[in-house]
Amino acid sequence: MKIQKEHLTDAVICREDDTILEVSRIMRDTQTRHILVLDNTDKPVGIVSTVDLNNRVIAEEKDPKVAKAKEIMTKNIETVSIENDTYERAFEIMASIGTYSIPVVREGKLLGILEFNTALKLKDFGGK
Amino acid sequence: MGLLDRALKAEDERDFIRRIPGTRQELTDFVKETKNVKEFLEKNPEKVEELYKIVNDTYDRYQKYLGGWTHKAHLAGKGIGYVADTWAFFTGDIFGAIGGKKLYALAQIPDKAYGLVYGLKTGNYIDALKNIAGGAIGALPGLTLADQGLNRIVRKRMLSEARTKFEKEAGIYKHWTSKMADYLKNVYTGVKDRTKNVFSPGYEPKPEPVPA
Repeated sequence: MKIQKEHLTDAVICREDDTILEVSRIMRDTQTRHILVLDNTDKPVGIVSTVDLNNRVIAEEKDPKVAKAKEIMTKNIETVSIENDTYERAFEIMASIGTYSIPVVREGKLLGILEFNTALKLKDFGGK
Repeated sequence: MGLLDRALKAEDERDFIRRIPGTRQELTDFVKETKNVKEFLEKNPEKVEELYKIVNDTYDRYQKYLGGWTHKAHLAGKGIGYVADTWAFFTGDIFGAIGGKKLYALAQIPDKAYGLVYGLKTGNYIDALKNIAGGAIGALPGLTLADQGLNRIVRKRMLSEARTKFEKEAGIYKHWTSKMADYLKNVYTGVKDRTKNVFSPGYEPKPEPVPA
């Protein structure tokens, strides 16, 4: 079954050039533990987690007012496309890399997040 | 709503604890009594007609999925399920309870099948899956309560959809980030509404096909 928009959840995002201070405040204000980093075309280019804030900012003594999201983000993240990919494919990717959610894109631009549980429930629902 | 009134109107056992509106009038009253909707209508009483229209449209869309005999079969099955649970609890006879649970599971088939039809016709697949998953868990000894049934799931869907539609129509809808910010302002400093930092897939249920 192909991925459908109504099964996606909200994605909390920041921009590559946002400062770490701004990133951490966005995470605080939305009560999330990871945030997607987008370039100026809305393409997901990385992800920052609370562990990254600890390990790559505080422990490395970086200045959160100066350092940018792109300097500490995990790059080359996996995404699935709403035009071509199925729930089964999304499930396989998440299972292989050990994550609980995956960004879904349309023409390369972020659309939302697909949760592992949703992919698990829908992967055998109505064919591929 | 008094206890007796609640008991008389209950459509399932969960309604004794928390009533979800099941009639057109109840749905209208529930939406009207929501805090932000009530405040809005006090200032703009003329907008109540819009609320009635939205509630009526929503109710008309979902009414048929509230279930007639499928819901009754579901309730009868749950009755047997609770007896089996009680038996297992007091006697420890799990295998005896499984016998009762087989009857329970049989009675749930129409409700779950109708739930599937509901999911496919409205696009609310997650609701349908929730219904099936509830039934599967409910078939285990001691867990009948886990199965809320299609009727309750549809009533919850009607309530949330009618409320959200009216809030959007009236311009008083608040994204979760905005509600979160309101709450966190009392906890941290410099909290902002981060709606711009959220990509929402913009879920809208599929309109049903118009019969030819």
